[in-house]
Amino acid sequence: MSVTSAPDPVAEAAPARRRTRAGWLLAVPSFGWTLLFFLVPLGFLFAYSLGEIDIITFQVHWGWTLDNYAGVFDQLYLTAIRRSVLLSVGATAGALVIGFPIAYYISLQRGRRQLLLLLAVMVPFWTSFLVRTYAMTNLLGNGGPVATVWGWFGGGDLNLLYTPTAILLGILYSYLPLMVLPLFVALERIEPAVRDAAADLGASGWRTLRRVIVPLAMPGIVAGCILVGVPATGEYVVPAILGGGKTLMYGNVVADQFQTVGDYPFGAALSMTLMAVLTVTVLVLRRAGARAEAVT
Amino acid sequence: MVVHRGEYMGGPAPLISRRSLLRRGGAAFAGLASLNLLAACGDDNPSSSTQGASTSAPAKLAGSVVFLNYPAWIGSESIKPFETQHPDVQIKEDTTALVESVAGTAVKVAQNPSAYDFLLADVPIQKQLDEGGFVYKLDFARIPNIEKVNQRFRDAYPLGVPTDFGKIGFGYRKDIVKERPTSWEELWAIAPSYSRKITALNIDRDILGAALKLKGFSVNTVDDAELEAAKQAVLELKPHLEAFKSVEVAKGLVSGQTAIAITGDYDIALMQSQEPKIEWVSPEEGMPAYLEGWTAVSKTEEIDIFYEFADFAISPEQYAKAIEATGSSWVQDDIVGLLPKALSSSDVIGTSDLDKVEFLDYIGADGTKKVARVWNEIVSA
Repeated sequence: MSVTSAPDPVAEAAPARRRTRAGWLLAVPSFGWTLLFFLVPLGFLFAYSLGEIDIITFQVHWGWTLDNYAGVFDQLYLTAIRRSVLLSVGATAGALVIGFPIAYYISLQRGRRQLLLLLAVMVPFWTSFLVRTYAMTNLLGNGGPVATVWGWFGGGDLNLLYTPTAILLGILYSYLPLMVLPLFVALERIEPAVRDAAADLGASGWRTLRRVIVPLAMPGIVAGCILVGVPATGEYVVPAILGGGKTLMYGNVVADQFQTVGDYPFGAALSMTLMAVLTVTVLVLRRAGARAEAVT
Repeated sequence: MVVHRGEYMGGPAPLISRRSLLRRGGAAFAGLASLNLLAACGDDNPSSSTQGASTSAPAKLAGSVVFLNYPAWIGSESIKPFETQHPDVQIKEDTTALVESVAGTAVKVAQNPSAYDFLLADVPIQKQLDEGGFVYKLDFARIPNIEKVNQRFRDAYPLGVPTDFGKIGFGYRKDIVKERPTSWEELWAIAPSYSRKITALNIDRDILGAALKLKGFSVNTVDDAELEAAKQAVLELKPHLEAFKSVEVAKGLVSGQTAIAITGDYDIALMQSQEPKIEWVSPEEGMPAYLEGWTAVSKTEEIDIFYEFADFAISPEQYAKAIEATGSSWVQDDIVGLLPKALSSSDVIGTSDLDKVEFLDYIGADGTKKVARVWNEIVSA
């Protein structure tokens, strides 16, 4: 008969505490980075949004005024928000429609072929965002490849450049990899046996996609929509280059306040408002994603 | 992506247009904003101007100054020869702030006036800085060569040394536009015939200034009714514009993709050197124009170096070299004989249309906000 002594809770807790402490220490650099380069600037932005600036001396008077926030609800800026959100939703939906088949196809490949295809998705990130966006001006301009192909199919004069459509296409092109990659991760996790089971049970390809694949890929869809939709809403560079200065987007309004007028508090209030709208949207989407994850 | 100046200017390498650089701050916006936000936390009180702090030049100059300038812009070419003449003097050129944004320039100087000794500033920035007490009141007797500067520019740029200016008119392709427009009114009238083949500079005061001239108003008005009239005029033109462009406004004139470009004289002059069928128009109603120069910062402790450098750099021989390198419109009538023929005989740049020019002036904080809003309404419509 062997006697086993009861575990000593104090002796067991010591390594656990060490692990916890080590974990905290490892988190210090990223916490410090986030604090210094995200939370502190965000705090400044918030403080600015409640203050006033003397545009002559550019000295900020800290305060608690909500006037800057009241100004955001001006019809001009609401229109800009609406336009930005619509373009962002359109670009996100477009990225999902285009990105899903791409990600699905890649997830079905194996080995080197899959790696090469993933590489092809990521290659655009190796060049500057600005360069890629400027390249779009050649693609979409009068006499460019898009217009030429359009002409081959009997289309009339097509000059997409400097239109809202160009902005939409630019955002779509720029952010497509951010949709494909999380979708790929989600689709890759689906066991082939699940598809086989659906087929064995008589489900058609379309029904399998609709009832099995898409629900299982929902966490990836949610992540992709967040990754594309959030930055697209505040996008500044693409509208500035492809919009031809003829389409007022929210990002451009914010830029104008900082760069031309010098009204930092109002620019900060505009930024904080957009951030609040996007935070609520992300929280809602994350909740939907968590529910989908729980189901799968 | 950026406008380059033509070979006729004689510079060893193509130079970047200062106006194009002004509008290139997009990608840097996030960084700029955060930097400025942090910088703005300082509570430096603007000092009052320190005019007349020094009345006589020292026998031997020594020290260093920081000069906020556009890259490779007027003054750059004078630094080395000046430093050779004055071995104990160092002029550090800072070109970072001015490429970021217009407001960014004023903010940078206003929030840290001790960091700069003098800067290139247009009239609105100079006067805005002056309202805040950031401008050193110069003793022009210390800059004898200022007498060479046309009095019109000296009057318009009272607190500093004027260096260059630029007119906003339009250029068109003679082989495409048969109507030969000579005024803003004619341009507006023929615009529907060249729909989507017209480009315009993406600078609010320049384009609103053109529309204000069309309507017979001052380019510096802040009157609501006059700004509204100008806004309606720009809205009338907008459907026919290919784009409001921040860079390469007139580039399409070379290929013929653009029929008419509303832009600065420097831009048209550059394109003319590549395509002679481009015609420049100084509209009959008048033109908005920017005027810029060197403004000393109130907190400078090296005003003697500024006086000496400014006088050296605007000496006719030295100034002619600067104009040759940049291709800008000049402010000294007497340098024409020192310029290459391509510049001196140009009907685009230079002072020949000065009677049609109204310089863009500081319109106050409220005026600046008002114009920015009107512009946003135009873009949004």
